[in-house]
Amino acid sequence: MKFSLVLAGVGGQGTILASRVISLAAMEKGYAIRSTETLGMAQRGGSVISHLRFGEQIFSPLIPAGRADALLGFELIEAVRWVSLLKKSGVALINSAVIPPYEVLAGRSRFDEDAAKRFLESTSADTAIFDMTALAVRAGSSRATNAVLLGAFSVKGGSPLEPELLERVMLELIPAKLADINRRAFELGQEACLRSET
Amino acid sequence: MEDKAGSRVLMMGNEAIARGAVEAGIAVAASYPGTPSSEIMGTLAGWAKKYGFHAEWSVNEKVAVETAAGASYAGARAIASLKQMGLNVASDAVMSLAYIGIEGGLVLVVADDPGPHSSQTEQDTRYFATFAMLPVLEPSSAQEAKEMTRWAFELSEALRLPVLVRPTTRSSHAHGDVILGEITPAKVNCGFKKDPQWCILPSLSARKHAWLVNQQEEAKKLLAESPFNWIEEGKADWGVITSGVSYNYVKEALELLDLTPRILKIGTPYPLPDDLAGGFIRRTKSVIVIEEQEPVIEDQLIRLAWKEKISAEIRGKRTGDVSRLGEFNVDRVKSFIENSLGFMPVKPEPISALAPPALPGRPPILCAGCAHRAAFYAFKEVGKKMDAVYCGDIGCYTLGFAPPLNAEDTCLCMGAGITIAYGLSLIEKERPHLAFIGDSTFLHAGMTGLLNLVYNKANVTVVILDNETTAMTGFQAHPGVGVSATGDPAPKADLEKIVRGLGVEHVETVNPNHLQATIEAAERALAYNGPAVVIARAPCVNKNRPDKNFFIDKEECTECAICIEELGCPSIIKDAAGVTIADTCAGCGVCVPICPSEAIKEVTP
Ligand code: SF4
Ligand code: SF4
Repeated sequence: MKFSLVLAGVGGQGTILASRVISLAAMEKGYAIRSTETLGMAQRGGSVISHLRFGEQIFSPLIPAGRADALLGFELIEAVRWVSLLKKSGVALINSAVIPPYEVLAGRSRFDEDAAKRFLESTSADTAIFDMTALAVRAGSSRATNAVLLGAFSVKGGSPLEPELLERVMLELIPAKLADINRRAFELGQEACLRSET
Repeated sequence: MEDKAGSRVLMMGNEAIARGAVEAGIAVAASYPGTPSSEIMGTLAGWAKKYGFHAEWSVNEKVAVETAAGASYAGARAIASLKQMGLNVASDAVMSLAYIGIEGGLVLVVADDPGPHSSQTEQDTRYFATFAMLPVLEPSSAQEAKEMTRWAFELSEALRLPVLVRPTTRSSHAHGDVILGEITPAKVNCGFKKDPQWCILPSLSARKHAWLVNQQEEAKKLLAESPFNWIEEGKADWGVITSGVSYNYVKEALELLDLTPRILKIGTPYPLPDDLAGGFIRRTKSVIVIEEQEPVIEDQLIRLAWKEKISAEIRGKRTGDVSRLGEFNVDRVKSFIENSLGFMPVKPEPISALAPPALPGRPPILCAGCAHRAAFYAFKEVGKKMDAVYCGDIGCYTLGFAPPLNAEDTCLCMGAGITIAYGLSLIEKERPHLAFIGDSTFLHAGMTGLLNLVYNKANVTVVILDNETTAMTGFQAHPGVGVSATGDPAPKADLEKIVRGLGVEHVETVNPNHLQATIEAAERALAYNGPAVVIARAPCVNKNRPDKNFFIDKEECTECAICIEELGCPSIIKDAAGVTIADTCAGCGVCVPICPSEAIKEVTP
């Protein structure tokens, strides 16, 4: 068994925490882990990407092109940027909310949201795109977007990590006063995926 | 964090290096932050009290290495951690230390940044090790990073030389499961023994040079016995020699290609253990050498094969099969192997029949509410009337390079903004020259340059962007902050007194978020004939966010977007709904006076 996961987003969105939750859950199951993320300069509102792999034996922390089992897209543009890492039958769980980069705000470049969505729908991956930021806000804070993604991943990610395990590890890592918001966000992520299944 | 020997924990490579140092019983750890090395000291500082050793952020890397060397002279084990550019700063000390030698184990962890992700150069520290004639170890995983760091202290004491450990971004900033070892208590009852051998006079240097050359042979013997080099037998008449993180890419690329050549994995790239490497290539028709960055192993191998008349074909960077540029990954390594074997490259099928849409770039930017943005804006407002030149430096404020601020015309290395501006001013006497430098960078390498301006009567304006932290590398403390690495109160360096002490007469301190006052200070500094310093002081918004919120009044806003085009704060958004301020606004208020229609207003509670 070898499971490879890409987490793509914008600096400050909580990709590193989500990656840590999944890593620690995989550790508990006895898997070997290798992961790597963008740190330092690139965090200042730039694109961030984490690669996370677990299984019996893992060598490279970086995932080869077309070999990822799942993609957690924290933001639409970044999800499109990295979707090529997915294998043909991979799972893409994508937040449809867009964070426009400065060059778009300043009118120096454009982003065609519909073309991006059409492209994502055209891939062979099993894709779920919905507004996870809105669900996080409904749960109590836009900062809980990573919990929505974790919830979605727990039911649709195709990994051997059980939803209960992921939820427990997540709650162990976050401050107690944010537990309720994150638990709700996790559940909303799960529900949204289950609904789109039926 | 769990710390019992035998337990299995998730660790970042840098944390594993810190753990290795603690297991080895260090007494002193010193560092200056730099990506991708910073978390080594970040971790050690958090453990210093628990395990009883001294940990510090030093003023710069040269100071850090010399501090660790002093502790080693006294017989204790010591570590200095830095990034590859930091080794350039410390190189004066390191080159001489190789001659003088050490007493207690001295390990210098130098993290390289192929890519580069966050550096000015892609230099390979293994070349530096070759140049200084110091052994270097190169980890391939977090577990190995821990074991190597621990072992490096023993090697250092056996050879009486400092030893380098060279992780790269993908070992420093990669997590893995690590099994912990026993912690050795730091050696305490030791001390400095006076001896002429500690004074590097030319006569001693000549003798020591011979000793150092000789130690290379000793080092090879010890490295050959280390557990970090190994051979994996295969089923082909060719082989792969690889090191560090590239080993992982090789393993996986071979799996994808379904090939099983012999593999020699090297953890000790310099000096290369001759017998091991020679034995390997003697039994192989051809080898491909896959190492990230420069051909350090490859060149030693070529020399060895030539000297020992080994006929194996050696492919790699020198034959054009392997790149010496950028960071490797499985796909690149796979294509190196395919090329060198003459295979048709196999690409994975695309995930969609459609071409991906064009995407806007998303480079890092100054945070919403960053006071650097305000300072740049103010000085550009004044400078634009006189075609001023803006010399930048290393820190978050390097991002002032980007539009709309365009506030960095030059950026070279730590401290160079001040001195480059001065050099320019010697040629362009009529043009105003400004240098922007952060607080931590000023203390690291700016003070000497500023003294030079005073001494040589320069006409340059220096702006010290003082946000009271080392922001870019993760908010580390420095002498101007008033706290130590371990979180204790520390004397706070007074920048204004330092600047005056260096002889600068025109010195002003402003809060850059007070835009008008900053513009006026900029006018006075630029009008002053002689070296002038403006300290633009406001805490980094990530440490201290003003307790205010702003909004754009729809009634007043003309959607001119001047705030976006001139200031570039990422919290001001223009879309179909008009120009609005997002909830990421950090409350600095700098955009308020920029709006010509007075549409930006504070939210009144
Ligand atoms: S007050 Fe204005 S400039 Fe400051 S963070 Fe908010 S939107 Fe940006
Ligand atoms: S971290 Fe601080 S110094 Fe760096 S860009 Fe953000 S606000 Fe500015």
